[in-house]
Amino acid sequence: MAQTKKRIDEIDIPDSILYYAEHTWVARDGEYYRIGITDFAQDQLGEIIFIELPEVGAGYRKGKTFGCAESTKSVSSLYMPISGEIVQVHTTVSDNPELVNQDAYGEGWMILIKPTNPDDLQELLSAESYRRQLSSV
Amino acid sequence: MKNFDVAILGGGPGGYVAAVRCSQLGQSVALIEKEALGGTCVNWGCIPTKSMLKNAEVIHMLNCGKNFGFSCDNRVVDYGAAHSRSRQIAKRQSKRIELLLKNHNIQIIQGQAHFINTKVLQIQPSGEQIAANSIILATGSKPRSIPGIAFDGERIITARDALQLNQAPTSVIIVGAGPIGMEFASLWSRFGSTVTVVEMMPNVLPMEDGEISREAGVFFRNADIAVKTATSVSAVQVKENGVEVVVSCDGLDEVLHAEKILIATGFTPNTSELGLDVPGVKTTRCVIDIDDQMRTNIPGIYAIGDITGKLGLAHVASAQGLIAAETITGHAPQSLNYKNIPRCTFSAIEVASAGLSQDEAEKSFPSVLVQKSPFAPNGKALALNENIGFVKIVADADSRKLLGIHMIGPHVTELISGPAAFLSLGLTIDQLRHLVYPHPTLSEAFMEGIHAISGHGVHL
Ligand SMILES: Cc1cc2nc3c(=O)[nH]c(=O)nc-3n(C[C@H](O)[C@H](O)[C@H](O)COP(=O)(O)OP(=O)(O)OC[C@H]3O[C@@H](n4cnc5c(N)ncnc54)[C@H](O)[C@@H]3O)c2cc1C
Repeated sequence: MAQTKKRIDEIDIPDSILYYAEHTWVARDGEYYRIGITDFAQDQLGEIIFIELPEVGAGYRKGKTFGCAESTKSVSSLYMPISGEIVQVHTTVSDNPELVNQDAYGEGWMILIKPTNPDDLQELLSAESYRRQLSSV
Repeated sequence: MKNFDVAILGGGPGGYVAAVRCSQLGQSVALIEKEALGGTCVNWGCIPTKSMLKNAEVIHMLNCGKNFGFSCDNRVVDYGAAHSRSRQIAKRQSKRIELLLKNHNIQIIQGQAHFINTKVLQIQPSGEQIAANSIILATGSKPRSIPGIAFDGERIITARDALQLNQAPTSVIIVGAGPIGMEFASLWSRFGSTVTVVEMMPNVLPMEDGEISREAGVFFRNADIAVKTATSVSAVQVKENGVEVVVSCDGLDEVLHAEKILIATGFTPNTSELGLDVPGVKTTRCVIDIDDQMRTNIPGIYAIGDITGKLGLAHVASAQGLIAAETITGHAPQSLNYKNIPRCTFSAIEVASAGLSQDEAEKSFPSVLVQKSPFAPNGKALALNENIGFVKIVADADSRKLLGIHMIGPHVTELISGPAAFLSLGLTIDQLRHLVYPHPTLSEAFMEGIHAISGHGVHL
């Protein structure tokens, strides 16, 4: 009875931001970077019940989990797209996890970080490469 | 007017489980809930209490640190954080139920429903009316006070008020030493409150087997909870800084003072606002009369959960919900043996039981076998630093069938399911004594008891 998932061509992948293979996105915000999960990830999860986010000040290496998102179907880890230190946590989404379903790239953002290894940015995917990755699986 | 195959009043563990099963069985279903999905259980009962109790257990573990070779000075205990955690967990479970119902195409209607006629309900405040072929009543219960004493939500409180506090009371009197009373006593005493429990019956957890109750009483008293049994509350007065409570024991009055008084003595079914006299649903002292298939006296109207006055437990409500759904769809579900359903207390020492107490068994059977198997010699219990309590097995000496299992000690609420299943399946001690249990586990205490009752205890 679960809702049907989006087709790949229906998934929203804005050109203006960068992507990490584990379905997180990165958007520059002044000297910091804003991070959330992609439309594909939220669609796969289905309606999100709970999001666990880290504390301000915590540092994570690229590829490590910084939290998790739980839906009626599963619990998924949230992966750091680049190494960094948490400067702000979007606590509104912890209280209203549905924001991630409704607006994954906007009001559904999760953390703001200060990069600790700027070279990681070079390895992120463009919208086009991320879409290609999705199509190939 | 919208028409459904089934309308369910109340979204607690009775109502929401019935809704899902009705939908699985091909019915169109509306579920009407006036507050939050998940009912008392998820929002103000089972779940938030267990969440709070986990925080209390962590405090206890930290206090026991020296037994494990570490110390933590200057620890800060934050009741507010425990409270927020419990609210978040409740909200998360409630949300999960909402999505579950939506995924089963169940129409969720927010509001309070009452009967207009046998097949039609009106929902307040919208005034909307819906019709249904079958109606399941699952509206739960609310705390009942003691005669002459009214809850004020501030000083004289219910469990629900208690779960809204974001600070532990410095001192509290708890009336009623049942599971809810003892769970709050455990919670608050571990958070540093001065706790006094007042119970009318001679023992704490008075519904349990006598030996279990006595063991629990010793444990709580040793845990610095003042327990006054065979004592009743005769008056409560609200003062500026708290309450003054007069209790009497053996004709002697005593005056107690505390910041708050929690009354956890019993429940009244939520039946008075349903308009039950419209269809003519029969009740006995506010409890709805049902048969084995959850049918009331009115065809097409069913009742489940706390309003049926059986055990007042969430898993009973859910089990009844499944039966109601299956009855409505023309299946012939197996009826419940309420006596064999496990009952648990999640207090600082856990208690769990199923079936007959020793006293009950001795009244109904000519000859009864009884065996106690303590956790003291259990290696796992020792490793956990929790080798207290025991498992007690009661069996019929003639048929050698299990009649009752009673446990007090570490994690027994998790241990009861296996033995309770054996009891429900009608197994004998001779069938059970060949089972092999994993080592080292607490569950070996049950196996040890089975060996001993068959005359071949190895470690006893
Ligand atoms: C502090 C506490 C701790 C507990 N701990 C445990 C435990 O550990 N284990 C256990 O098994 N049980 C426990 N219980 C008992 C358990 O919560 C109940 O047995 C269980 O919730 C009963 O389920 P129910 O579906 O019958 O009713 P409820 O869960 O009470 O649900 C009834 C629902 O109906 C709604 N309602 C009422 N009237 C109307 C109406 N007219 N129209 C629409 N909606 C209506 C209510 O808002 C409510 O949501 C505990 C109870 C309390 C108070």
